[in-house]
Amino acid sequence: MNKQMMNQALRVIKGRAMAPFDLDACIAQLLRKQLLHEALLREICEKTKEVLMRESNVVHVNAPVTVVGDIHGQFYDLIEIFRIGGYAPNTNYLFLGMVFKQSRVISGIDFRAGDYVDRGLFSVETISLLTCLKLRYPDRVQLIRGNHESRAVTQTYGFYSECVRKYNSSHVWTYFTDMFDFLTLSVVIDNQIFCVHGGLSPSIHSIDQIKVVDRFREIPHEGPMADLVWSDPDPEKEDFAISPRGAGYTFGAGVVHKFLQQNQMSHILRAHQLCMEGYSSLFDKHLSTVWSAPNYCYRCGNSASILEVGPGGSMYFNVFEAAPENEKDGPQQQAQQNASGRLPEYFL
Amino acid sequence: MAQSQVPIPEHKLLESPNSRTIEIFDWSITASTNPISNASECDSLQATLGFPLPEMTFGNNLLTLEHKSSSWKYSFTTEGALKAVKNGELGPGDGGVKTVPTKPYDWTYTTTYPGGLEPSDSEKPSGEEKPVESKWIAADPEDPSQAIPMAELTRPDPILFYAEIPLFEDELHDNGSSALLVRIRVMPGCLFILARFTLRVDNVLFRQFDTRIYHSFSSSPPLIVRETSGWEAPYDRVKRLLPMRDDLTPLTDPSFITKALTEMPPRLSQGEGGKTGWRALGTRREITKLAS
Repeated sequence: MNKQMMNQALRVIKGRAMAPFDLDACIAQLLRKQLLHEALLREICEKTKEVLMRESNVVHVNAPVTVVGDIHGQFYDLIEIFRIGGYAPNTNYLFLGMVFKQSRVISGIDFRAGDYVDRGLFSVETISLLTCLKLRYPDRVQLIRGNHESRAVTQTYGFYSECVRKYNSSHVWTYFTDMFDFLTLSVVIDNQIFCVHGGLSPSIHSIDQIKVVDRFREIPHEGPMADLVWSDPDPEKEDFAISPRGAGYTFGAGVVHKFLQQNQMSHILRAHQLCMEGYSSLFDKHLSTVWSAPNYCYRCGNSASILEVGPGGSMYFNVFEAAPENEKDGPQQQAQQNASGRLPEYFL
Repeated sequence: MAQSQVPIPEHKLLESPNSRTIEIFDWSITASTNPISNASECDSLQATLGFPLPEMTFGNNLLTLEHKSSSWKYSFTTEGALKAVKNGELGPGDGGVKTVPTKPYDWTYTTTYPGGLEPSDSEKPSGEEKPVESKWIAADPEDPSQAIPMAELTRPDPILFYAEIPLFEDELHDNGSSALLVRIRVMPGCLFILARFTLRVDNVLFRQFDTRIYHSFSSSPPLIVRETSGWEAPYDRVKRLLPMRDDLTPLTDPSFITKALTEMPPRLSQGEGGKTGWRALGTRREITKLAS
């Protein structure tokens, strides 16, 4: 057997060893909101890690691409995004963070302790679907790490308990959070638009400095990696300032202009902040925030948007509202009942 | 549920998409629940307050009680609640949670706002009379009619009107959570309000401030009882009470926090608290009498 044939045979054997699974069938199943088997998710997360491992800390893509901000496990609203923005791979997607923070769903209905967890929380389905899409179309779906893709945050905000409830163990949570350690930190569209979950960092002046960050780890408490996923713009400021909460930074107009100039770019695109309109623009439209969770926590009443970046740098915020399915199968149903007094509670 | 045989008084319910009103006896009570404030509303409220707003500011939400014969009007508003947040350097008693000092305001949005008269004194055109008998005085601890009757409130009488009105919420950049939620229920014999501020600062402390307002429709002259209570406990003290060590979700559940704080020995949760020196720890009860 010559060397070429040997390699081919080896590839076949390796392929078999990897327990072949039909990704398209997985995606179809998840689109129907049906969970994947735990063993399958382990395989999928392992394979996705391999894909992510090869990505730079700064992934370059070309327009057209549709940019999605925070989704927060609102499964039906993710499906709504595909309905209005098109399904992968026909549409290229860039997700500025994937996860889940659901404390708000709970806090308005605090009197039903012990019951809330069973209502309308679909983070596992949402994150499984995004992971499968990434694995199936690695060049057409980009996932950027946000501050919520961490063990600490997912433990506090319900994803951990959702995994335990749906799979009777914390293994699935471990597969996903281990995979999060491999997510890239930023994407650049057409060498012009810098995309990140949170914002800029005082220790990063040029894109090249991002490339050398050791990102394969839990999000640290401080330093450039923490700043990229945590920081917020402050329109009243020029420079960096420590956030009033003492964690992370805010950055002002001067910082934005300097960063864009130094890196010869025209725009910064980020997520991380709720806004009623679904998007906002700051600093003479040199920075945009895109927010993709409509009616956040099923009671904020806010709009959401996805940003469609076209060839030649055109940018269109496609604004949308909460998907109708939420009313039948989500905590929103409960929230509405409360608001209109149909489900009163004998609080004391 | 077996309901007690309570005669239902005559009342009228008015409903619009974002607002509901009940008219019962001498009262008109309105609850408005709306989406969070939009960008221009946020800008103008922020200019008034002078500090950054909570991430979710429900600036158009409110609860208003109006007693027609005395024209006593009492409200819970988002602006009122946020005006009670300390702006400027925090001093002794403010219960400041220490971080790197930057913008001088209370970044935890701690508020001991117990609701307020409407319109507030400062908003009134000069020369206009104050509403009659608007003063709160300390309740007589010996007089049961000046207390909140928990037995009556636990009784499953029909609820004629119910609303939940979030005023603001913020996740403190994912370092915790701060939220103020107002709830009201109107029963055949009384009205009852609970405005609850809940604060979690991860790895530091839990804090809660409750305002309860109770009025029996049969009191004469009409009497309003208002009870305010503050609690605090170090984060780890509450975390110890988790049913499962690795699942921190209950720490985001206000009812779990309430149970933890109120079942602790009061010398802890209403005494030393989270060792911040917050002046609002403890409970006080006041009353006000309206003209009938």
